[in-house]
Amino acid sequence: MITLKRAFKNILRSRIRTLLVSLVLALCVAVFVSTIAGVEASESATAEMLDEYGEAAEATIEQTELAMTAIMVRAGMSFSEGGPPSGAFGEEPIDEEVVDEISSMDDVEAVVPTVSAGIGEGGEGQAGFQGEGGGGFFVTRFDYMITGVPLDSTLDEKYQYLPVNIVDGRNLEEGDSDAVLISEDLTDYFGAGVGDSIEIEGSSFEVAGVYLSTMMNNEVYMDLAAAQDMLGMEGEVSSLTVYAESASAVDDVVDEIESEYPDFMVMAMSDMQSQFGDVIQREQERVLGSLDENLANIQSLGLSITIVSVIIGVLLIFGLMFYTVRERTKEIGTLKAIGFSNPEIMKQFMYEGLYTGLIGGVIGLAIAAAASSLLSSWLLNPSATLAVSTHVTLFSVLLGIGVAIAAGALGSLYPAWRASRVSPMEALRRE
Amino acid sequence: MAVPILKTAGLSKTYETKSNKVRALSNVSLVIERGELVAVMGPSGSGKTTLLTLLGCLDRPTSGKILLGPKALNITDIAESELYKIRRKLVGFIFQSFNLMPNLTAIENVELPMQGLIPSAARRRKRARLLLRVTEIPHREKHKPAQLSGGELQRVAIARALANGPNLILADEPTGNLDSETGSSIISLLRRLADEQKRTIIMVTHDPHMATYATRTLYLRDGKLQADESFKTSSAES
Repeated sequence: MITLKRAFKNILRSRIRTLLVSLVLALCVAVFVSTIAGVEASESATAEMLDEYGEAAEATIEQTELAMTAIMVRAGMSFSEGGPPSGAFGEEPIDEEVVDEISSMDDVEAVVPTVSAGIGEGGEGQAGFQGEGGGGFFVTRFDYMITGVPLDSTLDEKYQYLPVNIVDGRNLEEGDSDAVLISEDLTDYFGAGVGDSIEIEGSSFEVAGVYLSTMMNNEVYMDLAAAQDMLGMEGEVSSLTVYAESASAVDDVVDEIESEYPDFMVMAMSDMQSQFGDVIQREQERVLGSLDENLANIQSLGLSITIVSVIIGVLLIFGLMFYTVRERTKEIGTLKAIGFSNPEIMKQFMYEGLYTGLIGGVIGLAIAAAASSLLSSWLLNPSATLAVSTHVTLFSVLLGIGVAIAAGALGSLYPAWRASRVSPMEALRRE
Repeated sequence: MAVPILKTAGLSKTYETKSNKVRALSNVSLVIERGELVAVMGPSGSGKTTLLTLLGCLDRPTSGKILLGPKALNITDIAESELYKIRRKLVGFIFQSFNLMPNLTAIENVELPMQGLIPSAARRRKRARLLLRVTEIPHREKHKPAQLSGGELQRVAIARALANGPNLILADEPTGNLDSETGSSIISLLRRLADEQKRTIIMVTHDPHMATYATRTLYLRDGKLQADESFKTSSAES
């Protein structure tokens, strides 16, 4: 107790020196604490991002799995002479009764009928879907496409055949018999936006929403019945998307449809989808990898910074105490001459180092509390690849104080030992 | 009756440097009794300070024995790590340049050696106060060394040397940094401690005038004891 008190009085003897050393040590502690806080914040931010990404990826995988059960069904090509093709790609329409028939087949989960038609003549070009083996159809490229689908929210929620990226207005809802959803690109074509009225094939529709255009997606979505009515396709649809109950049932369903309707083109999506799945998986791995790599970089940089700041702290205390012991050799000799033991002397100088460490630690925590976000982003993340806001946690406070005290102890260990070895004869040295 | 408080037998000290050996003290044997004020004199390099460091356990003799205290404790046999106990309890040291801790007050300086022996702070304070009265400087107890004159500093230092009631007080040129008047008053104080409190004091001095206050003078030359004169007064005899 008395030694502690004396040690405290001793560090106040050269206040400027103690203050300077404490301040530099404080910076080390502030850097240390901020770095820890920064790494912690980066870790939790990364974990959060991984969570979010994981949820999104799960949803994508669910969609992909769902798509794996999809089977495209079209009627055969019509090469009849004259007259405009009733389907978008010159296909025969499918009788709407087929929808119910296929729906009642074993292993079929759902059937989504679609009416599609090209409107206007934009010129020749390649369009449509690629068949297996890469063969394409050369068809007339239309100004835009009509896609009529059932406005059944339960069905759409599960199979998502309506666009999901609505940029303006709203999506189509059940009962929207005279509303349409158009792509962003088509707003220019029609010169119309949400709430405006557009004319298609002599019928008038209101634009309910605008969706984000993607490549080859110049479609106007509307209610199935409205499309049938407008296109004169009552009781007919252009194509069907049949969903099997499971991916393993797809082949059976394809066989059943083909045997029942030999003229139909039946195509399972699973081949296309499995490639798509691979792409998704690779992309996921890449994103996760880069997140992990980013975090690992921050962690290793953080580790280096903390190690360097601790080393500087230890060296600082070491230098201070080493100098102090040399300066006070005669005083130490006197203490020995009047009966102080080696351990007592060592203890006193250890306490002086610890006090300096503690003062530095407390000032350092104050700096860290005020500026840890700034310091950590400046130290860890100059390019701001991972924007994080830090807060000084109890853990980092305890660690900061602990490190300051440890630096005090470690740095003063050797100088204090040297002090304890000073000969009492030094007391008699003439100055 | 005379009680021997210190005996040395064949005390020698040789310092070895890289090139040669220096025999600083050679075969010194003496007996010092309780209440003596001994002046150790001699030219520079005669071994005065060496004798003092050996008696004070600041250094160890090359050969010979030192028996200290009424129980004739052989301090040359004591392990290095235990020597601090002798320095703390049995010996008090007074230095030419006082060697007080600059950041402690006068009374705190006096309390310093008591720390390991008297656990109660109140008792340490009480004893230190008493000692400052003995050395006639009670009014300066709250002052720090920088606020005290040379004579006052040495009085505080003498009080510190008395802190743990040592058998032997060793003084290295105690008046060396003081003017002759102040020096005389310090020597008078030491003489009074010897006469009245039966303290045994050995002091190294260059100053023949200061030596006149002693009850006995030892002359050293080339590390050997050349002369040993006693001028015992009636008061020292009693």
